[in-house]
Amino acid sequence: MTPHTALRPALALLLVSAAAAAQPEPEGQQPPAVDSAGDDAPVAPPPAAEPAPAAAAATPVFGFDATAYPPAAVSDRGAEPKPPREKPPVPRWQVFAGMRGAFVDDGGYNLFSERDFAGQGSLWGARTVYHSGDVSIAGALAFDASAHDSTIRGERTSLALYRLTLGPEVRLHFAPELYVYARPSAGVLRSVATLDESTTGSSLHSNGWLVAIDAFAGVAADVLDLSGERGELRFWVAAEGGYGWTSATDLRFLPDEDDASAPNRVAALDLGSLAQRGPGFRLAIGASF
Amino acid sequence: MRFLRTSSAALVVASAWLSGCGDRPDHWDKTVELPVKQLGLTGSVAVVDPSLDRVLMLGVASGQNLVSTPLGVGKNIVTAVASPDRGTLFVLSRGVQPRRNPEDERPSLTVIDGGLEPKRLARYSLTDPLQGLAIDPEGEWAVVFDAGGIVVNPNELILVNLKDAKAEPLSKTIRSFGGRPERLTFTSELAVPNGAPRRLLIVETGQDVTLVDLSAPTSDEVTIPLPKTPTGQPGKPAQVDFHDGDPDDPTDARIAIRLANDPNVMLAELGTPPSNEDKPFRVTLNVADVGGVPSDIAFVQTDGGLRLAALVPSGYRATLVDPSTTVTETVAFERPYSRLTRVTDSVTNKPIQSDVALLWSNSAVGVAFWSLGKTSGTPFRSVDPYDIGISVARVTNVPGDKYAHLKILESASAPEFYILDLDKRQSFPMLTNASGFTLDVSPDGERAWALRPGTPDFASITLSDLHPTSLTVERDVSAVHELARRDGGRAVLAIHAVYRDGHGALGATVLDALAPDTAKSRFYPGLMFGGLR
Amino acid sequence: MNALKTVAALGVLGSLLAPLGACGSSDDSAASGAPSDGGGGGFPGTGGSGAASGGSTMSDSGPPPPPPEQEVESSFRAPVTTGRYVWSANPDSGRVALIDAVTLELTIAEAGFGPTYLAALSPADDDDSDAAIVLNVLSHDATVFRRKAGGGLDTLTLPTHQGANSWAVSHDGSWAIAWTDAARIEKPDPTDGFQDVTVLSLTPGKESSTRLSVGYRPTSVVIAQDAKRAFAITEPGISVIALSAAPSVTALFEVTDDPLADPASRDVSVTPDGALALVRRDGSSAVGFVDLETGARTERPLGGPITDLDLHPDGKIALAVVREKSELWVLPIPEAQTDPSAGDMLAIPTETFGSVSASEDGSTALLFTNATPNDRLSIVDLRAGADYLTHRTVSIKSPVLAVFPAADGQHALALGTVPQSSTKQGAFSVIPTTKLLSPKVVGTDAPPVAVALSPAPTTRGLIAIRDEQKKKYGVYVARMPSLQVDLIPLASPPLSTGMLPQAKRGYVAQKHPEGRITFIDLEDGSARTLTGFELGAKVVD
Repeated sequence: MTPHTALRPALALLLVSAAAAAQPEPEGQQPPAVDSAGDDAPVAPPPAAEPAPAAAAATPVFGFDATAYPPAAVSDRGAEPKPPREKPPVPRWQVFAGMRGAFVDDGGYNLFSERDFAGQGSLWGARTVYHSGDVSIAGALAFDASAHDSTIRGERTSLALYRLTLGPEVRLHFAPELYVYARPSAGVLRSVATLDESTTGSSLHSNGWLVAIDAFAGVAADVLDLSGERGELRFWVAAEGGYGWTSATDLRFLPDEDDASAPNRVAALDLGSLAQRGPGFRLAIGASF
Repeated sequence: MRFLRTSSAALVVASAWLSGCGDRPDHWDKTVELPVKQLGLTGSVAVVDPSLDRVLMLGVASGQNLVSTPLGVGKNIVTAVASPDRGTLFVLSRGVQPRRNPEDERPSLTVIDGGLEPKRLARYSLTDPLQGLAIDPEGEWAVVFDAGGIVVNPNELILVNLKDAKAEPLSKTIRSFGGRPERLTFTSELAVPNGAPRRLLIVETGQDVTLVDLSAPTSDEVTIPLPKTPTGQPGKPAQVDFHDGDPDDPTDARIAIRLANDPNVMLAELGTPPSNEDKPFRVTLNVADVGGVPSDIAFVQTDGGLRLAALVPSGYRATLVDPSTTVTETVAFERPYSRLTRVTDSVTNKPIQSDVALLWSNSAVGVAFWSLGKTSGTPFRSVDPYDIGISVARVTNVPGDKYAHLKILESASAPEFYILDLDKRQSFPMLTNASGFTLDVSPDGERAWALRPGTPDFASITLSDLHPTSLTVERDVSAVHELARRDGGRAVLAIHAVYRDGHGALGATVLDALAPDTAKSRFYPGLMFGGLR
Repeated sequence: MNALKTVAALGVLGSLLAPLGACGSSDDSAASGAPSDGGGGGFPGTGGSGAASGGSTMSDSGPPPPPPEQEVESSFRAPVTTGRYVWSANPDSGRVALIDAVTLELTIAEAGFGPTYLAALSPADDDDSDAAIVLNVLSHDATVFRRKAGGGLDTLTLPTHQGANSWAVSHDGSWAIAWTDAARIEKPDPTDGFQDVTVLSLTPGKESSTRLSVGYRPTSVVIAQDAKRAFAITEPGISVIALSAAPSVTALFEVTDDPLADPASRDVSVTPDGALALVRRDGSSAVGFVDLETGARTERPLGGPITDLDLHPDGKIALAVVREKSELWVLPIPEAQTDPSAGDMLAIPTETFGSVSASEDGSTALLFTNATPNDRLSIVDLRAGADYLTHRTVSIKSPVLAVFPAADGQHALALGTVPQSSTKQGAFSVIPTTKLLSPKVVGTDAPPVAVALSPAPTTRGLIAIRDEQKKKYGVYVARMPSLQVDLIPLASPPLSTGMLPQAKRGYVAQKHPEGRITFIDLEDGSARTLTGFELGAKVVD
């Protein structure tokens, strides 16, 4: 099974997991409010923490040591219970992992895929750097990677794409659990193309560096909040769509210079050019902390 | 929450669907089937790509720079044939069969210029899918025949006038008595008693011979029945030859027919038609027994006049038949020569009146010169044997005038071949390191190329001084083609055909033909990807 | 008696003996399986049938008598000719081919089952009519072919009796009689009388077929020139057939006092007018005459046992040879029947001869013998005048086998066997008979098998040779009076040869499964061969 074909069930699993993770929590099990990240954000002062008697130790959650949380203060009878912790309006750090899909109607890409769809694994992280009211801005760094293979007239081909982009993510928060965002970014794309050519008996390669520019917009939703005294831990689901563009690179296949099995003075096999341009989307799950 | 569940499910379905949409052009999925047909032309090498309904014309611009020009032809290529002068390529296609829609492509014949700038010269749309193609050596006609459809008329011929690209192909159904065309021969111009000299198309079927008048293809053809064999089986033609006879006599043009497994040969004279018939000629038949099943026939001029020579290897002899009287004369040979090639026109000092023939056989060692000017009275003096130590399987002519007096004699089994000088009556052995070599002569007639297919070894032999240059490239070679280069030089393409994992692939090594040097060659992989995007 | 029966030559002798000198035309039609001279319109009395004479008269004293004179055997299925056309039958395919000797155009017609024996129907003096008849031996009928003016053939089939293998045709072609020649039957049973004959009336519009019975084992059938009566020469005698709307056998005339005597020992010739029959018996010195009106028999004794009796085609002269005494008797017919003094006798005691062959014009007779090896041949002038019965003798350098005088009497062709000292296989001579010139002697590499001479004035002769073992076949073209001889090799064994004077061609029919015939231009000597008669007719254009 090729990496590309293995990617689909992995993506499906990821999406199913995301869907499962999107299941609402049963009523009544409200996690305690956890102080969110964001030192510079004005937040309500937390209730005073008093040492709790050992008999009223908190239930461990997610492996957190209950002793890390100060027990709820038990005062004499008649003291008021503390109010629950409020979610931070904006996540501080976020990491997401998911898949990116693109519709690539490019002749060069046809050498490596029977379909005009390019799926990639995607990983990005963001750090909120500005928050004012319902708007926040984060810096986002994204890494997409994929591998594709196919045959052309019976000859095996493979293509590995590695894309790294950086850009601001501008968010509009509707609630602490929900925001929409736009993320323009730019970066580079590395393409590594290989053709197993029979007459030479060797693998011919055509590698290139491409300029990559993305413009995506999406929505993220907080689906699980495990924040506690130690800090914020929220799980998110994000979905975005947009357009990705790269420059083009020539597909001129040659054997490696140190490939002793290849004939001497092999003329480059010109099979056109490769560019990854087209609309795309991402689906991911992430966490903020 | 329900919304989230629903949205999640939608995401899953959408992703699965998205991963399956969009198709690439299907030409990438068409594999290359071996063997790949290649035809060496004067300025290009044509590589037939039936999967993609196209022909790749490989040329060399300068140095070792290979240029690939893909030319689309009709769908479903049936056959490709080069003209005898190797200047033109003819590709016959079946089209889309069966045709269901008006836009389904019809059968066609595509004519391609095989010179330095390959291009399509013409495309003739045909009405029926046929499989056979015969090309007129004089470049006037192409005849498509041998139907291969579901319900067909096997006796239909499509005559294409190559001199007129706009001419509609002419469909002609020849008379049939149960046979179907198997072999077509174009005659030169023959004088006829009633009318201008004209060319004929001789159509051999399984049981008769038909003559089609190419000057008036729509007129009735002449069907010549064949006699039964001595064993009572229906006669079957094996070979035909023709001769115009005395140039001053328009009534003695003749066609000879060798019959399979039959000691008889037929002579058809194009004689004077009855006065009440407006026909160009009337066929008068004669049958001559040559004393054994002949292996080859040819009209030859002897000192006794025109004769039909029939080689009878079983009897170690040839029989000369007087076409007027069918009287035969026998010339004994020391060896059972089975093939005859007239070489009169190839020798520098041509005999004035009589022919010289080269005799050879795949099963007899040596060749012989047969001087047909000495047959009357002293036939035993007319044959001059040469023991060259090999039995000859093939005799290759050298095109052009410069070295026309040379013939290349190949053996089926021996690891050597000979270059025969007809003028000096000398033979030069060329030894190879193993048997199984094939030989080809360059279109300009200056070099011969010897190749052992399936190995990386081949050699060039310069005919001016018979100097061989051995070459070993880096991949096994399936064919070697010499062609003209666009910068005026000459190049040679060594084609590499590889079959792996159920598919084929083609590459080529390009060298200079005049000074071949593998240290200056260039390797071109993936030729079958040419022009694909 | 020798087993060799007298058989009228087909293309060999009949072509020479047919009336009106279309040598090989109507005579060759009879040659196709029938006694050529008799069947072709000629009369058997002229020459051919005169041989096979006996000579064994002495029984106990002296040297043993020489064997009888021999006749050259003729062949089957030789083509017949009418005008410029040659007819050829193919028993295997059931077709008959008509070949134009000038253009080589072929016309093929369907006959019955197994067409074998052809005869020409056209009168020899009618150049416009071309008709022939063929016996279909397997379907027991006959097919009549008449060439149409615009090309093609009209055909008509009439039934015949079973076993017919010979033809007799009237001069005008209005009657044809199919009969069975026992000499062509291998080992016939003694009870096989072959007495059936079929009389065919061929007048257009009145064709009919009548089966009759004649005497035991007919040896020849002739039709009188007036086509009113026909005569079947049989063992018991001559059966007379009336040719009328209802043909019938009207009489049987005995030809000897002892009708049960061996019929092989006698020859019977009938005059063209059908008035008389001349009878020669081996060992008998008398020429028998039978009046064919009354059946009365008379005899005219000669000087000794008659070894050959040759009735001239016009029926006016009969030549008889008495070998014992080297005498030639010239008998005027019918005077010699009643007048014992009528006629002349020439004795050449220095020569030995037992056979005579006379020219068609009656001007020359050639005397020879083939009973014993003898290379000498005597030429006798029969013209009235001072040179009447003058003679000279020539040597042809090989024992004489057969002699063929030219129609104009000025030359003759003589076939010879080969002397023991010779390396050749045969020989022939071209002999000037009127001029005092030496014969042209030619040795051949194969034995001669067929001869044809052009009609008067005779300038060409064809002599076909054949040796199947050595595969040597050819035809010599003899030119007269220059006596130049040229050989044209042939590709297959010749069967017969003949002349087509209207086309100025000679022909040699050859043995070939597809049919082969070579036409020789008598003027320039060039030859053209046609092979595959039916093939050629199957060419579709």
